[in-house]
Amino acid sequence: MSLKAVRKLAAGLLGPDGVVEDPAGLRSYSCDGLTGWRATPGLVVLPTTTEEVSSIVAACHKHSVPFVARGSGTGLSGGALPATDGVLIVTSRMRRILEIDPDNRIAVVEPGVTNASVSVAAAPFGLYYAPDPSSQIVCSIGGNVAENSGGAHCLKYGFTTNHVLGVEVVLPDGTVTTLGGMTTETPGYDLRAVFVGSEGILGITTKVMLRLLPKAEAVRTFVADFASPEEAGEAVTAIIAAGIVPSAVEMMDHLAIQASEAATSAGYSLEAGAALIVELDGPRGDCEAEFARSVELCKQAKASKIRVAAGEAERQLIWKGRKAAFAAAGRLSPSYYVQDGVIPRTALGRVLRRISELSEAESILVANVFHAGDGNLHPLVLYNPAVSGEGERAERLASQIVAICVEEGGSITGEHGVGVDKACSMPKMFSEHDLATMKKVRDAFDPAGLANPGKLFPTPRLCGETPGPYRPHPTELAGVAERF
Amino acid sequence: MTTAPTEPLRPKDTAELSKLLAGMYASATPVEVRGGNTKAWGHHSAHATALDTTGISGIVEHSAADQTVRVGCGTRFSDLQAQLASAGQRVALDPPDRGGTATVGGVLASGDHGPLRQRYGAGRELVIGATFVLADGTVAKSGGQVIKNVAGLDLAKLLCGSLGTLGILSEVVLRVHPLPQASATLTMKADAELATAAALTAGRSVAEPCAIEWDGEAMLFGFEGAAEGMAMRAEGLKADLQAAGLGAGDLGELSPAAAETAWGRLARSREAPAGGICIRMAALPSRLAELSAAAQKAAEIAGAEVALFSHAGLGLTDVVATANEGGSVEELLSQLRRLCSKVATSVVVRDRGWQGEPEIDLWGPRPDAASVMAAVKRSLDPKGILAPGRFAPWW
Repeated sequence: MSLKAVRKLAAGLLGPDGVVEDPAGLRSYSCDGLTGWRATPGLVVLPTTTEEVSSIVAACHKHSVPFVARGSGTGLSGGALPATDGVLIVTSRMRRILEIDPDNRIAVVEPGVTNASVSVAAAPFGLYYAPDPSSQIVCSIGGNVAENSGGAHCLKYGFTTNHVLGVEVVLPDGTVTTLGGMTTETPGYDLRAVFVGSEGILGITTKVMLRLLPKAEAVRTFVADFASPEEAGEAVTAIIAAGIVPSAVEMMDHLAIQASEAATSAGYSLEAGAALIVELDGPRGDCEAEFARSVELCKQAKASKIRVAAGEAERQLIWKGRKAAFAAAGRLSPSYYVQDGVIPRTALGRVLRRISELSEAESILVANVFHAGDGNLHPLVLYNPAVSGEGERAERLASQIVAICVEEGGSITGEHGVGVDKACSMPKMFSEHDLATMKKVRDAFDPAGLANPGKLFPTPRLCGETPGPYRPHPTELAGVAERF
Repeated sequence: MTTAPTEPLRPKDTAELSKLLAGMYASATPVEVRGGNTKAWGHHSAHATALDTTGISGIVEHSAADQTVRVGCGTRFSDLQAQLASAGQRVALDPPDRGGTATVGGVLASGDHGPLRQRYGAGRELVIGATFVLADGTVAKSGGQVIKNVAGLDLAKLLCGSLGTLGILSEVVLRVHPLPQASATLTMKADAELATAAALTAGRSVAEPCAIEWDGEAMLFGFEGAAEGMAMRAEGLKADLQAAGLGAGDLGELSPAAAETAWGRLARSREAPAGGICIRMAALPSRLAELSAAAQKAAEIAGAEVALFSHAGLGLTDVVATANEGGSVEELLSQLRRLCSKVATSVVVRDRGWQGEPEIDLWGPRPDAASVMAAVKRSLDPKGILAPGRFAPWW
C-alpha cells in the first residue's frame, strides 16, 4: 500500500521517463557490479533534480518505504542491491557539470556525472580529478562518494574523502542540507567525513564539490620482473624506505600475468614470477630523480628485467594489461570471486604463503593482483560452477583469505565497500561496541533505518547469530533473489 | 551542583579513561578533555571537571615500512615528530608549536594545522584509525592500521575538529610520510591584490609548492622533494608567475636558516596575543583581497589593530587582532561578519588571549547542517556531559 503512494507521487512528479514499473524494466536494475546478489526493486525512479530526490525521499519517509540510491551500478559489494519492497533512486540522469572554477580548483557536479568526465572537463585548465577507480569511464561521482572510491593512484593522492570539499545531500527524511561546502573549512562537525564512504545509509548525494589538482608535469612508468611476489614486495619496501612515495605500485603474480597477457598482449613477461608496475609523477626534476632511484632499487632487489615505458602509448598499454587482469581471469576459469582485503604491506610474503597453502588444500587456483604500495589484495579465486562442490570450496577459500587479512591487522575491504557482500564479515574486524557506535551515528541521520537497509551492518536476518559461511539471503529463500 | 576538583583527572590508559567517564556519565557530571591545554577553543564551562589525557602517552607501534604509527593521544606532538624523525619519517602536519605542549589528540580534535595542509591536508587526511571513548565509557574504534580501508563509518575523521564533544580520542593510527630529501623557501613582497593572484597561480603550478602563505606583506612558497628537482621547481614557479603577469621580479630564495626563522615566525603569529583574538575566515582563495580590505575597514570601525596571516592557497585567513584604547574585538568580529557575509563562508573565533568565558558570539550564523550535527551529538552523548555548550548556541 505504502509503496503505491510513492509510486503515485513519482509518476506525477517525474513523468513516464522518470519511473520504471514494468517487470522487465525493474529486473534490469536487480543487481550492481556484484552480480551474485539480485533483488528486483519495487519501484525505480530516475529524478533529475535535488527537489525531485527530496520529494521522493520525503514520501518514502512518510510512508515508511525503504529506499536505495544507485549511480552507474558498478559497485562490487552490492551496495546498490535494491530492496524488493522499496524504491531504487537512480541518479544517472543527474549528470550536469555545474561549474569548473579553475582559479580555485573546484568542480561542482551532479551525482550522476562519471568520474572520468570530471577530469575531461578540467583538462583544458591543466587540472584533473585525482581518484581514479578502474571503472572510472562509467562509475558515477555519487557512487564514488558513497563508496569512498580509491584507485590505482591513491597511495600518493588519497581517496574520494580527501578530494570532496562538500556534498549537498538529501537526508533520510527528505531534508536537503550541505555537509562541508565550497571552502576548505566549514565550522561544526565534519559530517562530510562520515558521509563519504557511508554506502548510502545516511542519505543521498545530490551535488558534489570536488577539489581539482594540477596535472603532474611528468609521469614515468616501469615494469620490473621478479622471481616471486615476495621478492617484488622487498623491492617495494626498499623504494618506500628510500623516502619515495610513488603515485602507484601494482603487482601481478605469475597466474595473473598469464591471464592478462592472454587477453591484452601488453608485453608482460610470461616467465616472471611477479610483475611490479611502478609509476612516479610530479615536477619533472623530482620525477626523473625518483624514477632513476626506483629503477636502481629494483635492480638491487634482483629484478630480472626492467621495462621502461618509452612514451604515453606504452604506458597506457602497461596499464591496460594491469586493469584487464580481472576480466582476463575469465580466460583461466569460467567464474571467480574477487576479494578486496588489505594487509599491512610488509606482511605480504607471509600472507601469500598462507593463501598458496589454502589454495592447494582446497584445490582451487588463486591469481593475485595487488595494489602493492598500500597492501590492498585482490585475489581472484577461480572456480568452475559446473563442477560439483567447487563453488563452495572457492567461497570458503575466499572467506578464509578475508579472515587472514583481519588477523594480520588489515581490513576486510580496501576499496569495494562492505555493502551486502561483507556485512557479515564486519564482526571479524569490529567489536559489538564499535558497530553500536557507528549505528548511533546512523541513527542520528536515519532513525527509521530506511536508507539502504541491510547494508554495511551485519543483521541477524542476513547473517544469523554468528558470522559464518554462506547461507541464503532471505530474499533468495523467498524466491525473489538468486545468487550465482 | 558539583564543583570541579582542582586537580584534573589523569587516566593512564584507555581502560582507566573508560572507567572514569562511565562514572561521570552515571552522575551526569560535565567533563572537559584537554591535552597540552594550548587550544581552549569554543565555549567552556566553569563547572566541568577537567580530564587530562597526557597520561595516555607514547608510541605504541611505528611500522616505518608500512608508513603507519600507532600512538597514545596524550603524547606530545613534538615528541612524536622527534621520534619519527629518527627513522626518517614524520606526520605531514605542521601545526603551530604553541609552547611545545600540544598533544596528538589535541591537534586532531581541534583540527589545528599549518602551511603543509596545502599538500597533505589536515589531520583528518592523515588519521587512518582511532580508539576513542564515548561519554558513557564505551570504548570504540573505527578504521584500522592500514592506509587503505573502507570498512565501516569513518568516525576517526568525524572526531577531528569536534573539540572533545563527541568522544575522547585515546589512541590513533596515523599515516606517516618520509622526511623530504630537500626543501626550499621562496618569498616575494606582495600586497593583497598581488597575493591573491600569486596564490591562485601557485596553486595551479606544476612546480607543486607544498605551502602557499601570505603574511600581509609577502608571499612565502614552500617546496619539498628530491634535491635534484628544487632548482627546477623554483624556476618553474617564477616562470608561471611571470606568465601570469605578476612580475615575480623580486622572487628570491631564503637561506635555510632564514627560511626556518620565517616559517617559525609565521606559525607564532597566529597565536592570539594577550587580550587579543585570532579569527579564522574561510573563503575561496580568489577572495583574499576582498577579505583583506574588509579586515582593514572593520579594524578602523572597531578601533582595533589587525594583522592578516593567510593560508592563501587554501583560502583560510586568520585575523589576529588587539583592541586599541576604546576599541573592541567584539565589534571587530561583528564588523567582519557584516562586511564579509558575501565573501567568507564562515568567520569564527579560534584562539583568544584571555582566560574565562567570552561574552562573544564565537561561531556566527548557524549553518543548515547544524540540526544533523546536533543529532549526532545527542546520539553519541545523550546526557551532553562532554564539553557542554562548546558549540553554543548551535547545540
